[in-house]
Amino acid sequence: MKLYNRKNRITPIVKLSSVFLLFLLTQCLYLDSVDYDPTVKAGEVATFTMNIRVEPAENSSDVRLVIGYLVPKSWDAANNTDVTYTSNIDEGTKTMSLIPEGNLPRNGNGLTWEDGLKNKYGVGPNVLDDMEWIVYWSDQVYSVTNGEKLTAAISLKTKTGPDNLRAKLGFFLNHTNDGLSNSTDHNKVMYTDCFEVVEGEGSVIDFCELHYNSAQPINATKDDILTIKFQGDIGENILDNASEVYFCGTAYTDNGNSYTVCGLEDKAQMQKENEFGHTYSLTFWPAGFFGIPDDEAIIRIDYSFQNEDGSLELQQTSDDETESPFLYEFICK
Amino acid sequence: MSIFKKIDNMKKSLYKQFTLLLIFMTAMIVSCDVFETEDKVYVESEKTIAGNWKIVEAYRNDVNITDLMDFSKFRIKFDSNNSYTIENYLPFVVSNNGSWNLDDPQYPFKILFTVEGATEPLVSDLNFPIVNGKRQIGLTFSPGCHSNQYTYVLEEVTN
Repeated sequence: MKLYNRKNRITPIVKLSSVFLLFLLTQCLYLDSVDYDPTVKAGEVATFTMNIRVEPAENSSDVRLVIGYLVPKSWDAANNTDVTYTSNIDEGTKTMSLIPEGNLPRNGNGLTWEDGLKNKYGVGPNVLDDMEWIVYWSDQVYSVTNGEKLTAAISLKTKTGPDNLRAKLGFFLNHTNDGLSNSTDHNKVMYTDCFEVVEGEGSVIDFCELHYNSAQPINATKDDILTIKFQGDIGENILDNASEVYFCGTAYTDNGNSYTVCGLEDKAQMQKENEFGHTYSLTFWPAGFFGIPDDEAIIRIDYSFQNEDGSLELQQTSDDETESPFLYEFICK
Repeated sequence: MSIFKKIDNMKKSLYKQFTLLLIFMTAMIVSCDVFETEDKVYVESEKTIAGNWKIVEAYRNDVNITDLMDFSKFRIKFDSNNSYTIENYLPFVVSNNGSWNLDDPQYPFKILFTVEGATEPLVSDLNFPIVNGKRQIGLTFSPGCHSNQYTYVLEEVTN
């Protein structure tokens, strides 16, 4: 009986301290801003600076700072990025490295850091999938004490890829003692506005906004599997009332030949993604689809979307209202 | 209850516990004895992928594309004499027929395809799980641009 009473007396104290501790723990990691130039030339180095604060609510030892970086895959950023930082508790410039493959986040349900972030945030506000999360940790291991106020500026310098593109890059902040928990106090994420790579190869790949057309993957050869979409839901268009949508495309090869698949053929019929929308897709192996001989490589596909009888054709419209086919260029570097 | 009665109960309880302990220890000794006299060597069986296989799942850069394209007609037949033949070709590790080998017949992690006339094999990562009682083969490779990775999950054609 005495024990029961004692338990009852302890419980409110424990509860109160837990709430207090929880309140304290809510004040921990902050990603205040990401500084960057909004445009960079293809192949040149883009610099992003994450301005962060760490205000520990408890003493922690053996902890490393962790950052994630969402970028187009074509940048191969894991092999083309340097990450350094300066802080108010370190002397000089410190470095960060890719987290070794075998190190799993403490609360990542067995997933790697990269897969955990992909699972949690996907590609953020971007509309194409060809992006990847890359994760770094501080080479230095820290011990922090309750009440400390740390500030740091983390600089990521990446040599951009060859493609012209627009994308909303992602920046994530965490630490090894948390390891991708669900706590928003220890996990912070921020995306840039539409960042542009210019003066590169090919037409602009737009990760930022939906267009009537989209194609994935963004880099391919004739022996990849390509998915081309007609996204009729983004605005009123001439195919709104079409009961079926067909692909009409011409592949141009490196020796000057062209191969066309257009309209009323089974293989050119696009699949409707769901019953209620107007998004259709066609996934195909380009070499087999167009019948490209082994000794020829596809340079580009010009394409449009048609209704059942081919009487209505949707192409891209430029600012001066002229129409031209959509374009997919085969670039692989 | 008198103090003598309590002592008597404690004695009985200790006696019971001692007897139980004795039975338990005897059982352990006996079971250990049986275990130790067995002299078995367990050898992992050699894996074979001989058979005719079809694609049941397909992934491009970790995105499931199985329902986006008709993968159902593709067949790869691995013969027990280590030759393979492909029917209704789709992007794959190799585009022509040839011979196959596993990197380790007991614990295979890679499959080596050598196209007829070629000297160097092309290598694909290999998974070899049993799912819902059926043996599957998972192959990961890049047939087109090196930045794209595909995984096909194959299951043996039964009919």
